[in-house]
Amino acid sequence: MTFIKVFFALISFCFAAIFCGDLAYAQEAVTTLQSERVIESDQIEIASTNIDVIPTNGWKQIHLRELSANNGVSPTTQGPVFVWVKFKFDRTLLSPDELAFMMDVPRLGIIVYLNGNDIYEYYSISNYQTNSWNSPIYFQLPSKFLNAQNNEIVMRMDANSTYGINGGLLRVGPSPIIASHYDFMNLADNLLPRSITNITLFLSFCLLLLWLARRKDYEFLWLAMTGIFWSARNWRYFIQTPPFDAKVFLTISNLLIYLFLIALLGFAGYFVKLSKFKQYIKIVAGASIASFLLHFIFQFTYGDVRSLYLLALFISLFSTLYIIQESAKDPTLERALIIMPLLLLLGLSFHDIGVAVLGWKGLPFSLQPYGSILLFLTFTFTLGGRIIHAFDNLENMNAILDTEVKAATDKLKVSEKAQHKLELSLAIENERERLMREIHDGIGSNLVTTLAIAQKQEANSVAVPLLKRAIADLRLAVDSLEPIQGEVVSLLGNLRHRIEPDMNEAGLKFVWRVENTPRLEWLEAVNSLHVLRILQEAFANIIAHANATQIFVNCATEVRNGRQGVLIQIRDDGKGMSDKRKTQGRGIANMKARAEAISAIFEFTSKSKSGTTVSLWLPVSIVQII
Amino acid sequence: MAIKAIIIEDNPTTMDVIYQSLDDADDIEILGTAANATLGRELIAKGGFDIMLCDLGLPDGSGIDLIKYASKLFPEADIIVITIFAEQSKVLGAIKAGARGYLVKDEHLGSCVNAIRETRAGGSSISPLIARQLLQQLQPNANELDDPLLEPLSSRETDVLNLLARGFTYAEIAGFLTLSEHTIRTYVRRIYHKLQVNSRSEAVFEASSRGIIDFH
Repeated sequence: MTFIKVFFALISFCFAAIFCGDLAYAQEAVTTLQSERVIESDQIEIASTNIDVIPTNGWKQIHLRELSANNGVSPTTQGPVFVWVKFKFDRTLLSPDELAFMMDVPRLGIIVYLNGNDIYEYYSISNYQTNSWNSPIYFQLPSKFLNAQNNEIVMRMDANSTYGINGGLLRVGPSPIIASHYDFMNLADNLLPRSITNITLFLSFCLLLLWLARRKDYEFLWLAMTGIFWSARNWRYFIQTPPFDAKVFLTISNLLIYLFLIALLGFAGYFVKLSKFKQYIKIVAGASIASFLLHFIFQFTYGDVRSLYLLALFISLFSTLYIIQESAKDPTLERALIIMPLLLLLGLSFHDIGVAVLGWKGLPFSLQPYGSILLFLTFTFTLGGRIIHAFDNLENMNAILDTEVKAATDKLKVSEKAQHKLELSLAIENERERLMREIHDGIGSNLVTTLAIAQKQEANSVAVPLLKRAIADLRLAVDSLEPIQGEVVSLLGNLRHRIEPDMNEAGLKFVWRVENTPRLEWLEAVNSLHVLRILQEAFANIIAHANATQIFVNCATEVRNGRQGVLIQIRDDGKGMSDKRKTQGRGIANMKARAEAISAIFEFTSKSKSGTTVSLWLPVSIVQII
Repeated sequence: MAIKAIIIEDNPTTMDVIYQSLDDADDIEILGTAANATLGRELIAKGGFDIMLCDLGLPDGSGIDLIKYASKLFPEADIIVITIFAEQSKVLGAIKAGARGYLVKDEHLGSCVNAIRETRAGGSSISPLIARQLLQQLQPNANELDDPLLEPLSSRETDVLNLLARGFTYAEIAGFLTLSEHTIRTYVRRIYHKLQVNSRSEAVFEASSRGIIDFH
């Protein structure tokens, strides 16, 4: 609610300022330097006749702004009505140089007499419409018709019931100064508004096209209609001759102000997304149409209907207040951006109506034609903001999509890899199973059977140890195929499990000291078999040659040359080896070669009578040599 | 009272070796033998056995099916699987099906009576690779902790399995933990049981999630 109070305070302030300005309005403004002096006045005398002769009496003093079709002149159906406007000035007050005269917004056909001499005609017979409304008139005052002191300019203005007579400020002064006044007024009141109107119309059609491309974005349509109605309405200020009947043109022109109002307030309401937009626009439209009807009726009854524009102003005011109140519930920059030009538009309209109807001083030209710049500018900003936001979203979306696609691709790659791996391992597994079945049901089974038979029939046959060896080898091969995930300790343990009965038979005891060791990722079937064969060879050597009673098996982590590894040590308490045997042993060379094949370090130490130590150091990771 | 045994084995030599060794033992009585799955199933159906020795690769079917069948019909009976190489996949499969021990077909097969007596007394044999595999399979996963059906390993059982996986013998482990060797064997049997229960509950879970079993 404070929002509304502030708004009212502002409006009141505007009113007050304009009224104060009005009170201070000077009747005749003169500068101190005579050479630059300009007489500026809105004080005139007015009279009317039915005949085209300058009247000699019946003059009445009024302000120019009070000039209208009916001011002092009754509407008549008995032929034309001539309204005469008289303006007097003192030549001695002005520069002795050439003088010029100008008047703002003359609107209708005009004939100017200087001291009774016809010096300027500015009209055409058809429609009485000869001048674009907002172009000021300017002409030089011929020296030969000028009196030394008292001079009198009389203007014949053509009045009819369609158009009201109008007139702006009058100025007399040195030609160059008046000319520059004229240039400024022509620019500010005529040329610029005309360009803005044309641009607005063009932009509005662009917006209409935009809307056709995006039908659901109704703000485009609302703003396009606002611009089109606004431009069409402003047309009356610039055109020379209406394209069709002047009365119809004026009626449409008057109607347009209300259509413009509906479109503008509709746009603002739609843009800020009023929750009760439908009711709101119905009320706005209803009030506007009612105002138009009033306007329509009054126009034919009284002629001067300019006061009725105040109705339009109040409709906008209340609608704007409502929009502000609703927007205040959830204030956003976008809403503020659209309310601002709305308020400014209101202010501009207040100004123009105040000047034209209430006689405020204000600026010498109409501001309302400039309003569309504000509206389109802020709309461009908000639209631009939305577009930037949309681009940002799009970019973000692209970024998100990119990462999602990448993640999905990576996932796919991983799963493809996994699948490939799975397929591979499945193929390997199948192949392994097939081989195992072969080994099981074929060689394995046959070897075991043969061994059983051999043992039964000739326990001392040389075939028995050979068969045993063959079975052990096969078993080793099978064990090497077991998935152990690089846990060499389990491989070692399993070997013990296999050979323990043989060891026991040979009277050997294990002293088992193994710790959990890191995984050796490279320890796959082929490498496992190397390790197993080295270890089995070591154990076999002990059984065959050592004459020992105990086998000490150690397994622990050991770092060598800065590399992590696992050290397996097999030591016996046997007789040891002579140097001769050491060098001759083919088994040891084999073990060494196997160790080298898997980047392991094989060491063998043996001393006569103090046992033998075989150690195998396995690195945790193997450096791939390609 | 003698331990009543049945033998299902297709290899006649292996059968001979086992039969001979069991026949020689005073405390073991052989109720019957079968050389294939069909005969084996009939033999099981007759019942009355305390221990069943079963080969896995039978000419007309899988030993695993017979083990399942027997363990379902006679849960009190002990089942021992006969295998040449005792590969972990085969042994674990048999244990999941209900086996409580395994025999390796080697030159020591003749002494299989010891294994039978051990098993009958409530113990079970195990290899380091199988122990390692059990450690992996029965170690509770973080996301499976909530599953009431699963029986995770106790910390003692984990310790035992860990030592077994490193190649320590029952006797050595018993020494470390100041327990009897037999107790260690019963630990293993209990672990086997957990594997069986868990794999059964896994099967139930899978079956129910696939809509094969309706609990309602």
